[in-house]
Amino acid sequence: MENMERVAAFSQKIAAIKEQLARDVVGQQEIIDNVIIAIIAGGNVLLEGVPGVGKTRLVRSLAKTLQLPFSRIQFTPDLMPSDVTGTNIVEKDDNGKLNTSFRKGPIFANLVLADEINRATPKTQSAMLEVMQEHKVTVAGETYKIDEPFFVLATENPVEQDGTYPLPEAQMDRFVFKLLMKFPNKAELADIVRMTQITMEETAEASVNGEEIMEMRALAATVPVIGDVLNYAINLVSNTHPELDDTSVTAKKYIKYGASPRAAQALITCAKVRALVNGNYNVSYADIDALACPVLRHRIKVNYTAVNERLTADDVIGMLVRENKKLSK
Amino acid sequence: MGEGFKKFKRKMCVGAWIRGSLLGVAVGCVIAAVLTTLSKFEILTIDKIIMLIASVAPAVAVAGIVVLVLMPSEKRAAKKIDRALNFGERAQTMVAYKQHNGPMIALQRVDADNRLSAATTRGVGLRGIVAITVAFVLAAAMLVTAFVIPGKAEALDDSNEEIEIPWAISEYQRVALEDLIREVRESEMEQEAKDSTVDTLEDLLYALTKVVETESEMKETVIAAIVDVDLISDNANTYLAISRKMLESEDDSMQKLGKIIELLDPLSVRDKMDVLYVSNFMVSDVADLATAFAAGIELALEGAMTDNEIYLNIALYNFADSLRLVGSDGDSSNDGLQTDNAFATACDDLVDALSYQKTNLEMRDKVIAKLTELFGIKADELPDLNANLPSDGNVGGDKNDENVKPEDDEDEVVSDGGIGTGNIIYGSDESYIYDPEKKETVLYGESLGAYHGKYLEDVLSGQISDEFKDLLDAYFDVLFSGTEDKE
Repeated sequence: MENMERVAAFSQKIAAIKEQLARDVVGQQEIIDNVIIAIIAGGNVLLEGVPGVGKTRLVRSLAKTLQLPFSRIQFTPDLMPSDVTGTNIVEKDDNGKLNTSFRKGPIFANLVLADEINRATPKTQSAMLEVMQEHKVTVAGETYKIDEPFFVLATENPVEQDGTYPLPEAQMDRFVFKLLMKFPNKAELADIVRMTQITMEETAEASVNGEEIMEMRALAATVPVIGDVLNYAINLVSNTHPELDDTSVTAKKYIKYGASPRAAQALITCAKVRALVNGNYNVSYADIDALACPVLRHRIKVNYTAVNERLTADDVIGMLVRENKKLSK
Repeated sequence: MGEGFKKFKRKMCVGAWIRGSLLGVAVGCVIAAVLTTLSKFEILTIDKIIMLIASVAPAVAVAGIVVLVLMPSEKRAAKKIDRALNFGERAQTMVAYKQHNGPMIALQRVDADNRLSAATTRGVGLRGIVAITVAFVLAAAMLVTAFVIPGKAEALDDSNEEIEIPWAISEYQRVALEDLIREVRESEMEQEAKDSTVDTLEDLLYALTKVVETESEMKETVIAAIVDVDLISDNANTYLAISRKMLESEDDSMQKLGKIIELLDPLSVRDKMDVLYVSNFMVSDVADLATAFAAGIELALEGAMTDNEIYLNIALYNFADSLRLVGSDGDSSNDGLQTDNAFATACDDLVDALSYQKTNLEMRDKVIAKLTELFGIKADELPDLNANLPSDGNVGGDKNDENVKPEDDEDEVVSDGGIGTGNIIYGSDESYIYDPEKKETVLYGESLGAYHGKYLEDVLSGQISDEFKDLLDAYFDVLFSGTEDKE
């Protein structure tokens, strides 16, 4: 019974989060759902979208809803790693003695918006990504832990590529999802204009806190997944590798290199959350299929054949999913 | 496992049994159909028990294997349920984690079973049932067809039965029948019997010439004519019935008279009547004897229940009347002359009457023999005839008579050249000959008509020279008309 209450509470909190976010973000339902899944799963999200589609607003609104400290880092080419992580500074105390103390950088928040992360230098990017992976900062030999839950939502502008430093694949792998935020349709745009004419401020209210997010994370981790579904996810990731003997036809034809094992971990972890968010108590093939694109699109690289045929990563992933379904029958 | 899951699993088990059974029966039907067909067309000779075993054993084996293959385990059943109901792997998760504990797992189990309980089992567990049912129906139809189709022998018989062979009287047959009619008309048969026989034969000729169109009709008509001729003879020949009644009498003289009549030998009547007269009626007081004898004759006639218009009956009634006269007058005044005259007249009458009846029988036999030969009627196609003949088949005479048919006398060697009564022998009906058309050995008499007919056709088409024709005419004449036994 207690567990039923916990599950009921989970569903209510999810509904509350969505309701609050809907007050500030028009449309983008899939983005919102996947962001929620990523937060509960304990992963970070890379958001790609043109300026003005609401990436920052989403994160701000999320921070308000989740009652989590929020910081925004606008990445520029001159941003130094210490600008992100923080640095030791020398201070004179009351006695006039010089002491060093660590000034925390903007990364020390629960919810961090890393805007235009591809504009930062690789050195700064790697400092950021280390924190994302390990949830701690090491400066001058001292390690400083970041409070949980820690969630980074990084953004990329697909339009301005001049003077940018595309994230290396190893670092892209640290994002559990890459989500594509599309330009709103006319109706959505009309709603956005109407809403922001009233106020530009986010109106979302607090619905859950960090502790509750952690509880939800723990609950989602207990959702069972059967061997067949697990193998289905593993096969999907494995079939992105063209170099393997028993790989898929699609991979051999269209993929240059495939996803890492983190993709399989991300698929299962996030699928558990997705199942529970949708009111199910087990992971299904549908959960894996729904998360295939967000999990894999930034982890595979399509080859020139795909480019020639004007196939995007999402197109290739769709083919992989269909092929995987046939093989699983 | 919860009730919801059990409900589905049960349905799947039933479905497995149904599909296995249908497939097994279908296989059995196909095998049985093939074996039955092969057996019917004599391609394979197989005992019915073996056929049954050869059909049932594979059917049971196939049914068993299919049931085993289709009978789902819990895991397989769960997979089928999830697929059929689009259940999002709920059933499979429930089964996979049935041994596990945990709050979420317990929740999942309860949730899955509740949903299964609410869901319908329709469509689950009967995958491919339509195709299997169609296969079963086709196999059953195959089996029914195999039983229904006629086999090789049946097909031949059926074809024989179905095809009506057209028939038309040949010139030879028509002429032969006309000759027979003329022969009967010119014979010494008793008039009424003669007229009736001629009418029957003329009706037959008309029917065969004008009415009959098929072989089966022809046979029917000819057999009917034969039966009529036999009946005419039966009615006309009263000697046997009368003689039997006379022989039942305790009176010696009546028995003697009965034997005279039974012999049906006109040539011996006078001698035997003389013996009767001398031994029984040459007494002084003959009146009572004569009266009693007359009464006995009349009693025998009444007891025989025959047609009293027949000449023999009339002759015997006249004899009885004469004897009554002797009885009333006493015959003492004429010194036995009246009695003598009565016997003499009776002799004359009996000779004539018995001659008629003997000729009736002879002509009956001749007509029947001619008709069966002419139209190819086999002995087994005829109903029981000879109703009025003695059980030993003799036409007149006794066992010691030299005119007895050879087959009745074990010591007699049957010659190839003859059977018959008296001094006339006919073509043998006992020897066998190979018939090239029928490709079998048949009684000579059955193929004689066909041979003669073929001969006549060749004559008409000019294939037989005159010299050879004379030879063959004489040959067939002997066979049909008989020849004097020179032995």
